[in-house]
Amino acid sequence: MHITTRVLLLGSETPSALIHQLRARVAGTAWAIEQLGGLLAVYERLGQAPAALTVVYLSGEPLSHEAEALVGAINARTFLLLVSARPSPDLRAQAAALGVPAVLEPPDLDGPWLDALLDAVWQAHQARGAAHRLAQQLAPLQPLDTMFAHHADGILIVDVEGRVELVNPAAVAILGRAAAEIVGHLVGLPVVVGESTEVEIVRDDQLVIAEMRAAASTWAGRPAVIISLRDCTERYHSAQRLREAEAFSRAIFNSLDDQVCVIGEDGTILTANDAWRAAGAGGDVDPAHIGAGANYFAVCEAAVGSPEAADAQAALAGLRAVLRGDLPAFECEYPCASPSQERWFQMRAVPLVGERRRLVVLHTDVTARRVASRALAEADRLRAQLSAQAQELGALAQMGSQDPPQYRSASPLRERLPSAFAAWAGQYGALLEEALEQRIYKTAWTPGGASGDLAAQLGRAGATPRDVIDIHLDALRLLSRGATQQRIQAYLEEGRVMALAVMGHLVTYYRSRGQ
Amino acid sequence: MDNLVLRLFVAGRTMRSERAIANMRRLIDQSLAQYECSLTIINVIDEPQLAEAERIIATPTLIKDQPLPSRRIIGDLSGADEVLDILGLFPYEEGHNRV
Repeated sequence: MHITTRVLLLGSETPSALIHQLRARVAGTAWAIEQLGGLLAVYERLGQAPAALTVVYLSGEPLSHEAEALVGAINARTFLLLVSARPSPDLRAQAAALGVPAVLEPPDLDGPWLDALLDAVWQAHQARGAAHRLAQQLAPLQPLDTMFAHHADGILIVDVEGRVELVNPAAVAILGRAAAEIVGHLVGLPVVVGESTEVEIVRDDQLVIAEMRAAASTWAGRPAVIISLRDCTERYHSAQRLREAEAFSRAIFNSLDDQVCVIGEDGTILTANDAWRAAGAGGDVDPAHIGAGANYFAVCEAAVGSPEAADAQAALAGLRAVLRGDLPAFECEYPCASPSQERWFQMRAVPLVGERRRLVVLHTDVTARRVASRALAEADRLRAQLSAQAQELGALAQMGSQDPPQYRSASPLRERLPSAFAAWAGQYGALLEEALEQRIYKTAWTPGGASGDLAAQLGRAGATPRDVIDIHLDALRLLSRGATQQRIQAYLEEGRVMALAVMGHLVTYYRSRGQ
Repeated sequence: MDNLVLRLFVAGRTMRSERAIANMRRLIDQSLAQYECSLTIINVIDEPQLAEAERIIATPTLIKDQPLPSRRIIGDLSGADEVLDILGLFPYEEGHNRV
């Protein structure tokens, strides 16, 4: 209710002398007078526009039931002054019962009462308006108060200095203190950057961790800060245990020499271990293409048109088959040569145990195994060829002499002539080195002379094919120390030719001696 | 030079405590150079009676004892501007000391 103009309503029974007196008093002031016909008219007028003061003149007779109801209704809407034409205890009693603040009777009608009345009414009106406005402000807070009382989070309302004005039962429980120990005390203002911050509460000698939020607001018409506290101790400890478990798993993951990553159903790399990242950081592969967030399938698909296209497509098909569950695992080997050396990797993919379909992909450097395997195959081939040569040598010896060939019964050269054996292995190695140099520089190499001389020396010592193999292997062993894989491979290849050449010359030597 | 007397109540050497102490020291070094600062760190676990005397309900809590008026802040003090605002202190500016 807000009245901008001070209105004074008068009932129709008001004597003209009183009306005159009132008009004279309010002339030139902010008050305006309206004279209306009867209680009902006054009541209806108040429904249309409020008035600060209403004066109703009565005869002094007790009010009828209808009049009593109307006076009560008018009194609820305005400051009502009843003026009685004569002293009337009954009327005063009725007015008091209705809560009407004042009944003027003779001789009170005489004297300077009107000035005081108008001032008092206006002040009372203003006070009532302020009270009304305050009530309107407080009204919405009542449900808030109830809500706080039942809120699961601890709520404290503090004033601008940090003094607690309200604390709800949940806050009492979280803080472990009675409300009386908190309300009215200075606890401080919260500083929360972002949505929330964590604070600690010592409760029953235990450290409770609480998530604190804060919001500026008003409380009881004054600025205030609403602080909410949520006990997150269990969540915090769970998260801490989870972090520790994750760190442990991550440490295991990163301890592997194999390059390992986990990819999602769409091929996105979800995580990778240190070895995987180190491979990318080492410049072998663009990290942007293999790091977490990159798409493994896209990398395979991008290989279309390159020499690795077939391998990449096969790998892609294999990975998808494992994801679909068509294959329990997939593995393949692929070359991944760096500018300085030959390299081979084995890729193995297995499903990740879990609710969602994911793959664990391992890349293992199998270069050493590959090279060893190739050397073994090479040695097998050489052994077969030498065996053939040996058979030829044996047959030749049998043709040239009825006696068993000397080499058949002789002990190995390594044991019979260790110094000479070492010298011949060195000579053989030098020949191999020379052959390799000539291969690298693309110059012609004729193994005949030097290897023929070596074969003649071996023949004179009664060397057998086994001795040639021993010399060959010793020389290779010496040369391979500290050599690159690429050079070892070249020694193996050149050595096979060299061994066959020496063996051939040895056969020729024995043949000529036999003749 | 004015005295600035601060007490910071923490609960042990937790991550939050360490953060609050670091934030407060940084604030003193960077923004409160115009004061003769005294910062006392109080561990409420070791000295519960001090916490109780001040009715510390949660930690970290910072109390500014001097200059008056006394002020209190709850939190890890990570919002420098807000902390200074609540403490009623102006940040130090080279050549423009407003205190």
